[in-house]
Amino acid sequence: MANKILTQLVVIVVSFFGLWFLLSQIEYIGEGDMHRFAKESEKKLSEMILESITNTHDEIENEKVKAILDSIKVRLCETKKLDCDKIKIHLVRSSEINAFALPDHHMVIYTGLLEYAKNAEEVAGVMAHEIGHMEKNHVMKKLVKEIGMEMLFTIAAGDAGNDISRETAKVLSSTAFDRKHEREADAFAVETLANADIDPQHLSNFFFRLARKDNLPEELAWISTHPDTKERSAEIIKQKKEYTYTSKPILVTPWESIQQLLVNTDDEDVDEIEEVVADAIDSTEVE
Amino acid sequence: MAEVVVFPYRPDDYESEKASNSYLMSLIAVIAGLPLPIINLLATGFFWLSNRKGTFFVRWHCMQALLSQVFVLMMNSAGFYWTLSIIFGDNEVSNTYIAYLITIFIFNVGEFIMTIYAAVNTRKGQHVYFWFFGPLTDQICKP
Repeated sequence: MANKILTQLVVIVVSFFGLWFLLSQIEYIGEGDMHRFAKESEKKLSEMILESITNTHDEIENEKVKAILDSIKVRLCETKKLDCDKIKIHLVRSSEINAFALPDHHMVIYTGLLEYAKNAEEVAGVMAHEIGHMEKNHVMKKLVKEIGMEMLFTIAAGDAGNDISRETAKVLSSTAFDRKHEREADAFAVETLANADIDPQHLSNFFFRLARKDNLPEELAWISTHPDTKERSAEIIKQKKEYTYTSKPILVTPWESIQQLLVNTDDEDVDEIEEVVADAIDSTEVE
Repeated sequence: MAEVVVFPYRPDDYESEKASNSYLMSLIAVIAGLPLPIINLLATGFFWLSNRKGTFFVRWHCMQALLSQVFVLMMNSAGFYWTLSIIFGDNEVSNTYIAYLITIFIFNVGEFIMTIYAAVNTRKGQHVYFWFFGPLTDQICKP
């Protein structure tokens, strides 16, 4: 009798897990939809969103500042063997302290963030975090969850109005990722920074300084989209202990000189500015 | 999955009704128990407790109904807490999750049909013997 019971139990358990396994081979949602959303559509979608951002904010074409951001990007990408060229950085004039990733590996950085950062390492930390969101495909997952696949197809096809594109941009710039995604991007950033010999402590410091603000002004957009900042700051410090690195500065020139470039974009003191930038870029190339 | 077999004696009408009610109890509880799977088990458990001094036929069917509910409870509880972790936690809706929901739905429907079959036939005084739960009840419930 005991054998009969055991045999029948095994049959039930095997049937249950077997049926579950077979059914889970069918793609109901998620990755299938992601693949369906072809690269070309993703590109068009990012173009539409970028257009709606640049309609309301000026995109800064200051080659010198962009060169510095690009050099930080290269330093981060090279260590993780990422394709640097596919990541496109857009510097946008806004007092908001914000940076966010768009589909098709576009990254938008507001000048407010560069002005708030105390050094290039903090900016590198934020950039590494956003690259983490790109590499883990969090951007598309977030859009699918918040907006829906059908609407994304409509936007990419150019059939949606400007309002919808603007709303989509708002979702990416002002709503948070899932906590799980934020922690994944943090972990990615810590690893990338450590591999690039940049102390992840700077990213932690940046988080902590933002978290210390009791009354959040509207400009502090990045913290509103990145919740649990204090806990994550502590987690970054914990994670960085897992890596060995020699901290090397990104720029030899003071960060304030770079910030000046954002303010002083006229042709005044051009020689002096170019000298500062040339030094800064040279130093990053040496690293 | 469920068959009618010969019982050691012929139960009277009162016993048949009581035994049939043990299955009906789990069916009625399904309505209230859909969001909280524990309610099914509690209802069947209370019915078994109130009849544990009943005749062998009644006790046997109460126990079989209870055991089948324990199985359903385990399946549904896992689905229930998985759903909660998606709504309130960090988990995401995935293909594995949807497959699990479909699987427990199929097993629930199977169990539901078996329970109706048992309720109807037990009411007629027939001894309905579930696959796996029948032999298990034989081991637990003695005359």
